[in-house]
Amino acid sequence: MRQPALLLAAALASQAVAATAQTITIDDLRAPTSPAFVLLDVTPSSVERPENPKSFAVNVINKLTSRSGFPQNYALEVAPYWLMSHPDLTFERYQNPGIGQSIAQTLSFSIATTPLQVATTTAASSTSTSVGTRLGAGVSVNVWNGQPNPKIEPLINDLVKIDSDIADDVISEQERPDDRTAPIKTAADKARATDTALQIQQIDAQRLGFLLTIAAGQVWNYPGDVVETAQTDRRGIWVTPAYRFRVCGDDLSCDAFVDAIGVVRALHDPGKTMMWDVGGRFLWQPNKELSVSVETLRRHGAASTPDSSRTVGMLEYRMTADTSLYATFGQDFAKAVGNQPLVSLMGVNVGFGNKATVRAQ
Amino acid sequence: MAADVSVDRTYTVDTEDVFLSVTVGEGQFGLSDVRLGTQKLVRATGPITVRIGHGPDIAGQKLVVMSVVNDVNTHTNRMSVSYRLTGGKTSDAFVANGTVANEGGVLVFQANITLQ
Repeated sequence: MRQPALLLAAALASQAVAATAQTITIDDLRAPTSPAFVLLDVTPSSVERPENPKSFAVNVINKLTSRSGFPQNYALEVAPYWLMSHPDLTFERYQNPGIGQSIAQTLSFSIATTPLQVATTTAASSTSTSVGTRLGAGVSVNVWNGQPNPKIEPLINDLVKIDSDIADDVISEQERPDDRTAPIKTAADKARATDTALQIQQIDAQRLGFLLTIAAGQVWNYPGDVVETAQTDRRGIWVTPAYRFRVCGDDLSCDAFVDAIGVVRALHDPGKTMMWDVGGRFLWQPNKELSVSVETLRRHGAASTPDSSRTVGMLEYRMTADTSLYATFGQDFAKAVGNQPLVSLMGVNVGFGNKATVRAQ
Repeated sequence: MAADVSVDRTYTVDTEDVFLSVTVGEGQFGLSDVRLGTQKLVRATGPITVRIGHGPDIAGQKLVVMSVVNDVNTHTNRMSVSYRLTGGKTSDAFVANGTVANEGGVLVFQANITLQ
């Protein structure tokens, strides 16, 4: 019997792709950092950068492989707040949310799958084979969501003028329906408004100042992809405080950012005592396309290997509006057998869609 | 040009002043223009509340509320404009909804309110 959780995930995934058939055109594609991926140890970074969730987001790490019809290394993230209508949510409140509103806007749930690997070591070699599926489920919320980027303000001022022109255009069209030039002017002003709104969307994803994210998750193993064999695996909870600032002060043409991100993470593996990861990440984004970061974490706890730490560098480059390439290289936490594996991961993050599509009423 | 989303409504005035509140929701940005007959009452962004006039003086006139709404919210393409009328026989509140097909799109909402 196929496990219902996986079927649910597949159904949700197909629903998400169907519901978000629009192409991503905004700039906030990032390497996958959903809590489910973090616990499954397949995320390129162990210290996630605070992000605002999409109503639906699908992340693919490495590649999609279909084994028995279900893709591996796959994550789906859902932000329930944005699946419902909020007629009372003004632009001002959306941009400057209190703690309660921030929690509502950024609460997201994620599920992810990876192959369940079993290592076989002989005198000559060590091989790893897949014997099932690991399923991770996570929740994430930005308790404190920073401040709007000041670059939004001049764009809003532009939009006020353009909207006023559109209102005049429409009134003019209604008063003089025989004027054939009026619709052309309306269309041109609407195109200007769209261009400005897209710039605002882009900057909307670049919030500054202090951000505080809390995330938690649980992993289950399904040997043989059989539901009856489900085993509870790792679970964890972590807090990620971050401070983001522009490196060029008040220069509004500047797109360079620096993120200083910390993390405190409690992890529990079945039959072992709690482990604690403490560390941080320093991220430099010199322009819209490129980001470079270094992270280091120290693992403490009776269940961890002594002197266990992880230090990796990561490079992320956005190739197109809907595709980003990332690469991670460094040293991972020491394994129980004593070796400290190399982290070497390259991948492409492809956006399938970012917004739920709803019918006009 | 007809508005992208239109709502027609009738509101019964009384002896008191009538007020209108307009709110653009879904975290989107918008500008609203309120006219009573040919008289322009207000054009502003954000939530607005405007005194339309003394009930007996405005009875029989047409109130037109036009809102130009922009998709600036990265999370949703939904748009809504909420209207609330007070000071008449009873209060009235209604919402007009729409969705832009493309990112960053614009919708023009128009509420045509007959005051009686």
